[in-house]
Order: sequence, then C-alpha cells, then structure tokens
Amino acid sequence: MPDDLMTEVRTMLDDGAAPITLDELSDHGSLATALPIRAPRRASWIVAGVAAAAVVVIVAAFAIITTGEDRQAVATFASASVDCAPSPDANLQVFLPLGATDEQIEAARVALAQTPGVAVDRYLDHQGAMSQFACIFANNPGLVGSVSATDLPVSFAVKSDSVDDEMIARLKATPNVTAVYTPADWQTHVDEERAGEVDPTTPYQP
Amino acid sequence: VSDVPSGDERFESFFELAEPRLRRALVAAYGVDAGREAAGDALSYAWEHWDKVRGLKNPLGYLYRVGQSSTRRRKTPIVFARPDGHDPWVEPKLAVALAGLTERQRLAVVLVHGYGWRPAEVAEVTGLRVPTVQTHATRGLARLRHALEVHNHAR
Repeated sequence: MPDDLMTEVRTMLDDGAAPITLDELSDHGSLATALPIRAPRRASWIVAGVAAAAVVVIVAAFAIITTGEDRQAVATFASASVDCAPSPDANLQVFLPLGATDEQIEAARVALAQTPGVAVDRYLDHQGAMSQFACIFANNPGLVGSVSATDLPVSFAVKSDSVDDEMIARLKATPNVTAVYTPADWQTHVDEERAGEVDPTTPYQP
Repeated sequence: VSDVPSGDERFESFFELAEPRLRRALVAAYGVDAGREAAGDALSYAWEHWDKVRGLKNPLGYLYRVGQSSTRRRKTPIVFARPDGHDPWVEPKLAVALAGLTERQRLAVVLVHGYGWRPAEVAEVTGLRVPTVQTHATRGLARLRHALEVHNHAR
C-alpha cells in the first residue's frame, strides 16, 4: 500500500509541475533584483556613473536622517521576536558539533571573528545550550530532566552585516561549524521541536 | 547527486541532471506552483552565474537555497492541487494530507519514499542531517497514512 500511495504522490506532483525547459529560463529575467547575488550589469560607464552617484546621495541622506539603531536593517533575534533566542542582539546562531574540543571551539571562534562582516556576540557553552533547551521545553520538565547539558552542542551567537545565502554558506564552511540558524530558521525549529516533529534527543540539528 | 558534473562541464549537462532534482525537492517543500517557480528561478540563477555555480562543491544544495529565497520573496501559498484532467484514481484527500505535513516531512517523504532518493542525497540538497531526514521520512509517512486512513504498515 505505501508503494501505491507513493505512486499517487509522484503522479500528482509530476503532473502538477511539469519539467522546466531551458527555453523557460529566459522567463525568469527579473532575477537580478530577486536573488541573493545580482547579475553582472552591462550598463554603459555613463549609466553606471549616474547610478553610483545616486547611490551615494541616497546613502548619505539615509545616514543623516536615521539614528544608529535604525541603520541596523538585518533582523536580530529580538526584533524577530524569536522564542528562547541565544542572544537578543545577534542575528545568527552558529552551532558546533557535539563533542567539540576546546581547541576546536577556539578555532571556530577565531575563524568566525575573522570573517568579514561578522562579530561574535556570545558563546553558549553546554550550560547555555541547556538553558535554551529548558526554555523551549518549559512545559515538559520530564523531557528537560532527561537531557544532560553535554548532550547539547555549544554554539556562538553572532552579529552579521548580512544573513543572505552567501554569508550563511560562508559561515557553514567555517571549520568545525555544523549548522547556521537565522532567526526564521530558529523559530521554525523551535515550533517543530515543540510539536514533536524533531527528535528531542538530537536537538538543534539542521 | 554526486553525478552532477562540475568544473568545465557544460551548463546543459548540469541542467539535465539538476532540473528534475531541484524541481522535485522544491515542489515537495513548497507545492506544485511555488516549487516549480522556485526551481525555475534557481536554475536561471545557475545560468546567469554559471562560472560561479559550476565551481561550487555542492551546487544543488546552493541552488536549493536560492529557490528557498525565491519562495520567501514570492510568498505563494503551498498548494498540492491536482492538475485538470488528472487520473481519477488519485486519492482525493492526498493533496490536503500532503499539505498537512511539515515542510521537512514532505521533503523527506516525497523524496525518500516517493522518488527513491537515499537519505544522504536528500541531506546533501536540503542541508538537513541524514538522521533528521530519516526521522522526518518515518514520521511523515506515518502521518500521511493516518490522514488517508491507510493501515498497511508494510515497508
């Protein structure tokens, strides 16, 4: 019966979403403004110069009329209202593997700190991870009591100038990093854990 | 997934292998319309940035995230409605039951049980861990069976 069920799933999805052809790719021409990295511009030098001047004017005006707090456009855990956030001012949480040694943790800290546009805001040791876990499962003391702090991975709450795919990929490539969570990822994960859709014995796995 | 060419391979060869995988993964996660649109966006991105994409260690994983970004921007509802003229034998409740799973459960169930991907392949594309994929595949299939009142637990 599962095979029959899955055949129906395949039929429904394959019939509903036909294969994409190479010719269709040109229909997605608005990507330059939509995706993480803008397409190379082929504008003339004159157009590029005018555009650059406009950007300078806009940035200068923005700097004049906004406060320092307003300029922080990237959502933090606090501004995203994430439950049980690792740090209110951070905008990413970078997890290390279970059993990471002190040397690996320090190496990760140094590597993160050396990443352009990234600053380490807070280190969450096993006890910090346990506090987070206890916050998530505040209504399930039995579960919290069944997990020890060393069952949970340590992590860094970091402040990043951007949280786009490139930055996340770069942080994921940092030695000894296993997962990177944005505030949105984190809230989804918290919701799934609370709903029992993630194995609570392997918390915080991406 | 490891069969995807890299280096100096032509984009067309990459497209041929990547298209069905990206489309199926994103459709499983975001529905037939939004998922297909996201796959188109991601493949267009690959086309526009081929010099960069072909050098990536895990191009499908990267493009999957590009597709995810695209769906966040579009905010299209997750719908698994059957197309017009569908086969009448398809379970009527299936679309609703599938939409009722979490995104990760749908990904795992559809790709592992539906299309026969290995959990490691799902993990490579989606960024999930292999045990997480296995957990979601098991729980998702159980929820799907329950929703459709399928009681055969073989497999």
